[in-house]
Amino acid sequence: MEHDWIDEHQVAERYLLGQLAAAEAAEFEEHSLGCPECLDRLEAAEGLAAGLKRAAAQEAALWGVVLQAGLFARLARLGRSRQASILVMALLLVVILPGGLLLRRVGELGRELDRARRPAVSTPPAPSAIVSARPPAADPEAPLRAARAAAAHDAHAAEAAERRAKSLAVELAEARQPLVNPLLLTLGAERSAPGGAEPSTRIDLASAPPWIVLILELDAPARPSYDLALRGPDGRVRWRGKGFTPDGKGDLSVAFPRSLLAPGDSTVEVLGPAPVARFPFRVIAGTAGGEG
Amino acid sequence: VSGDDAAIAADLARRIAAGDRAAEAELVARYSRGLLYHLRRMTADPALADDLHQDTFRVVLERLRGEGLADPERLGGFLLRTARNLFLGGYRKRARRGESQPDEEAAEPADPAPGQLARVLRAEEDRAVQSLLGELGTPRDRQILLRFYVAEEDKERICADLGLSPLHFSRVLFRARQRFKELLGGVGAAGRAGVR
Repeated sequence: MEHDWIDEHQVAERYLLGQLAAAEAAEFEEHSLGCPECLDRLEAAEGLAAGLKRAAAQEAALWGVVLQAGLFARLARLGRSRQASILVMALLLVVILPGGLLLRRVGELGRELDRARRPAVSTPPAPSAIVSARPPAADPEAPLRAARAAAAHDAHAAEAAERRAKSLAVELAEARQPLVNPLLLTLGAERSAPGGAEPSTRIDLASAPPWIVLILELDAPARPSYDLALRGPDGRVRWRGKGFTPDGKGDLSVAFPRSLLAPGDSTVEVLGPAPVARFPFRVIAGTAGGEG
Repeated sequence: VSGDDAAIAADLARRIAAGDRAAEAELVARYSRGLLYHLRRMTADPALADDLHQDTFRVVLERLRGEGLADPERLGGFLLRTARNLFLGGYRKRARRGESQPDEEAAEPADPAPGQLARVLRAEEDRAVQSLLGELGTPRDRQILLRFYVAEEDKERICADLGLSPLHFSRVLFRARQRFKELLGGVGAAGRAGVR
């Protein structure tokens, strides 16, 4: 593996976050074993991620104290449910904090615009100020245009954040609904090599209820708990979680919101210290009333 | 695995098979740190990782001195597989012997609070992160780090939402990681994996 490529594609970080495809993860793991530079990358990224998560949790807790009224207080109380608390955390981290920062940035840009306009109507600066000031731009309108472009760009980002907030609010509303007649599907572990056979289990998104419960039959589970990862049709991990305990029959049951699934072949991976089993299934866009 | 990695691995395997004791020392020197790092992540138990570290090298060296490897260029992969098998084998053995919930004991130590060293290291990491966040050039850079490392969103989504090029995204992450290392200073991260 080339180090430029590793840095350019954040291979070390994505390895730690479980975002690499299995083959790429194995290749990087083997390379890193004898590569001090990559071990430095891994250790620094691991420390940075852990520190950022603690910092974000502290900020989120602070916001939780501040926002004890209205919608956000109601959302925070949903923390009894793990899914709800994750969504609240996501709202706080992804929407509120960056949104606040964007607002501040818009304010800064407004002030920059004011400053950019001032030279056109004010007297020339004193010679001593000229020494330390930036050289005058050839095009006096250039700073204005640049500031306007930056403001427009940030407004676009604010709109994207707002769209994401609405999307999360819809997901949160779904998460608060009781599970009535969830779709229950029992999956067997893949026996052939990955990609060797078509998945026999199919889920029709058009007719599926908001929640789909997958029952994973483990062969003679050897550990008290396992990690799980849902890999989408593009090979990327769409969700993962840690420390799930098989039931008395050795099965693991996991309920996925419909919104987490995308048309194509997906796989639930059961992971111990190493991959334990894969449970493939096919998601089809379908039409209402189709096979579930 | 790159050509260099493969060539070095094959050379070490060949020399160890020929009885070269210096090559055995080179093998341990080359892979020791990485093996310990991955074992600590695998086991989440520094003491167990240390034991498996020793056992893995013993098993691999015996194999290299004896029948050798079918694919000596993949010596690194063989080391990792051996480490995993020893780790899993330990669980299976204890399960067969009927020992009580070895995993639960490992997962729930008697004192779940972090030790003194872990607390000190975490405090240093937290200070470094706060300094780093304070030094970031724009709020957008902070947003990139939070969305990637904390919300664990993928690069494509973050770039699309923020209108960033992949190159800009890579630069922010690369510089943040480098600066974080600098801020941690002489306290190497190597010991952190085992106490985190």
